[in-house]
Amino acid sequence: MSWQQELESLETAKRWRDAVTVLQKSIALYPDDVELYVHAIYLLLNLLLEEDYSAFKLEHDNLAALLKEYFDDSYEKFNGNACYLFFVGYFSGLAEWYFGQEDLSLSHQMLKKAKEIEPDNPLYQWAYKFVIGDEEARQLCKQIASNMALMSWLESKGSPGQYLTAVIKSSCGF
Amino acid sequence: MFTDPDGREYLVCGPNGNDGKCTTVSDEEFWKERKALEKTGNVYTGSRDFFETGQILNADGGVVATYANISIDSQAGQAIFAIRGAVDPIPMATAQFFGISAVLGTGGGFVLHYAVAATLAPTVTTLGLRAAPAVGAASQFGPGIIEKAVNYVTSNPAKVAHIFDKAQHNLGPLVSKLGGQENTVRAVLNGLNGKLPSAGTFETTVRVAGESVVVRGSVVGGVPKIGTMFIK
Repeated sequence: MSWQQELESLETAKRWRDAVTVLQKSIALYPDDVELYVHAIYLLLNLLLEEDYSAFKLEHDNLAALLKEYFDDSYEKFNGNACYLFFVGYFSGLAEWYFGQEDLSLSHQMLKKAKEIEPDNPLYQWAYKFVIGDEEARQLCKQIASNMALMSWLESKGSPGQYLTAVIKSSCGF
Repeated sequence: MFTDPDGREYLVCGPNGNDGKCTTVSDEEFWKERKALEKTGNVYTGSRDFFETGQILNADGGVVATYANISIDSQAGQAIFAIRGAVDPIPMATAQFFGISAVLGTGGGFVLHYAVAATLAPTVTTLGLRAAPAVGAASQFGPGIIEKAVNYVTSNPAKVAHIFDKAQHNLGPLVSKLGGQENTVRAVLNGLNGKLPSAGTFETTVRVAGESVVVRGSVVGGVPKIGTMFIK
């Protein structure tokens, strides 16, 4: 079973403690896997913001430290990777303090860089325009939502992709 | 029929609108009361803009009064409003709710005409507001900081989507009750005031309009930043 299949199974079952263990083991095994880092960052951020982590004997400060560690490591490795910049730029803007930031500057810079690296990718265009409140984001989200290839690509990224799929759909008014 | 010749600018009525016991209060008086009462868990659902209308909710979410901004007396305010090109500042149904019989007057400023019975309640606070317990509420975050914190959320579309578009956050009824997302954010922040650390992350449950809202976030640079909030 791949790390992605294993994580998805644990996330669906809300077995958060096991999911964090699998994350840690997987990152030790595959330290250059950009998708694994994206997934790890999303999972930890989601735990910190949305889940009852203490019920699984997980501590806030440990989760926050792990998230910061993974962000620092991955940003150093993948700051030229458009896919990484797109996902992590977006997620870091939801609670920038967990990423060692005092404001949204880095989040916006990351999203801007993603669209500059791949200017023809509507997803990357949308993400930057959406977070800065550009009206053009509404048009782009409709274009993306009706593009099966792009939506499938997002869905294939597991929970991080599903989160953004939901945001795109709701921002389009679907 | 009365007009508003003496600088009084807010009409405050009972929970069901103009029940014959409305009172008028000056803008200054109204806002002084509003700031004090919002700090203790009461909620004003209006937009805070010219000719706003709204309800005053106590800490349990009960409607204890309604209000309408009925005139703009300052020259600067009139100019701004005129520039916006507004024609009908209060929708007709709302005007009827407050017993407002005509919409605009001129000469003495933008003035709404309204019918008020002889029995006037002296101030907003006589209308039955019950304050939630305040724990150092007055001193932790001033109005400017609260507005900065409101703006932090509302100017960030990703944040707004995260908080309000998730069905599992169960915020829909609260947003409807408070008259919008911005009002909800403001009410939650006012509820948090006095209960947060001076810096760093927090998870706090606050009572807002009768609902227990779980809020997670961080105080950064003296500003409370909401990461998420939901009703369990």
